[in-house]
Amino acid sequence: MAARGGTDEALVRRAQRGDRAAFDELVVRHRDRLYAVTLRLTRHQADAEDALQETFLNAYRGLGRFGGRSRVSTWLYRIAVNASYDLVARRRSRETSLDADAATEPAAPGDPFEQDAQRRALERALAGLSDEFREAVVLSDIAGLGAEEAAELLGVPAGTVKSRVYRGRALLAAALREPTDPDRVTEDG
Amino acid sequence: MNHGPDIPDFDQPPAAELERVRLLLVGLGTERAPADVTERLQRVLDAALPAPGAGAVRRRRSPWLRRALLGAVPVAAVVAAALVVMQSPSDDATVEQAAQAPAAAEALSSAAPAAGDAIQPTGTGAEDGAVVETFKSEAVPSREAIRDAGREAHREALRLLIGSPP
Repeated sequence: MAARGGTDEALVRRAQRGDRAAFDELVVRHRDRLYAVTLRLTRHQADAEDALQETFLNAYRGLGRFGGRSRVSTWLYRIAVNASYDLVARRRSRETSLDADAATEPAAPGDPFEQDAQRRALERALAGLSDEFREAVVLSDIAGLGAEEAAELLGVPAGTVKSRVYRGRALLAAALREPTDPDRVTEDG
Repeated sequence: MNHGPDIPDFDQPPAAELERVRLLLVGLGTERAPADVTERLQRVLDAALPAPGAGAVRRRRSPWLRRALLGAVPVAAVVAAALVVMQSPSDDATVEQAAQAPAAAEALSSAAPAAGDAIQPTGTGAEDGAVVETFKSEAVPSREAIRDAGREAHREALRLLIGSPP
């Protein structure tokens, strides 16, 4: 991503030299999409927010180790995915179970999609997917990563990512066809 | 309950339906994070990260490394002090040697004319033999002579430097 402050890589180089403003620019560029990812991976608003904060704190602490072998966005998403799953694990250790219904929290006040039944059905169906399908769909369609990038991040072959994305979308489509029975996506299998 | 990676066959949705799902998902990715979330994020970063202009990001040292470095400071100080103490006498010796060197050269040069006098030809074989003996004994100053000359030169140098007899 390139804008007023230069490419992401240029911003990282400046941040490595202690330019806090460059790091803040990275935060502004990526926070929205990273929050979208952490929200769908944790399925919990407070955890998603914590994961977002941990992502940027860990990214700052890890600036010295970023060597530019992968894209900055891929690096950030990797940190976000790890932070999200850490929080999910911590929550699971506190609670006995985390099912899809409990995870789907009310939309934030002022959310323009609050009244959008289709969106809510999509969120519910997404939360009902297994981790493998959900993370593939989230990274591919919500985060906008290519199959190769998502594969590198998840540690699986690109073909596996493509297959999971296709099947994940198909399951979501099936769930959206019958929005009155959101659990269908998890029972048909 | 959830599908694993090896899910069984399911109804293949039409491509248009899959595309609609994809676009809905893409739409989720373009939404802005709530303002209160971004504000809290900024506050957390401001509290946890150094202020702008605070300097380059440094790799964080592990606690054990920090402790080791702190422990090495007094050891290094003791070693440095020992080196200074050991260095001082050798410096004096160096000065002494440096002072002795020209004195030894002087002693050699003063001995040379004597040797030159000793090798003046006299014309007879017996005298020549005596001259050779004289040359052997006087031309090359002994170690004691060199040492004495060095000491004398040293004293002279000290006299010149200090202005009074040592």
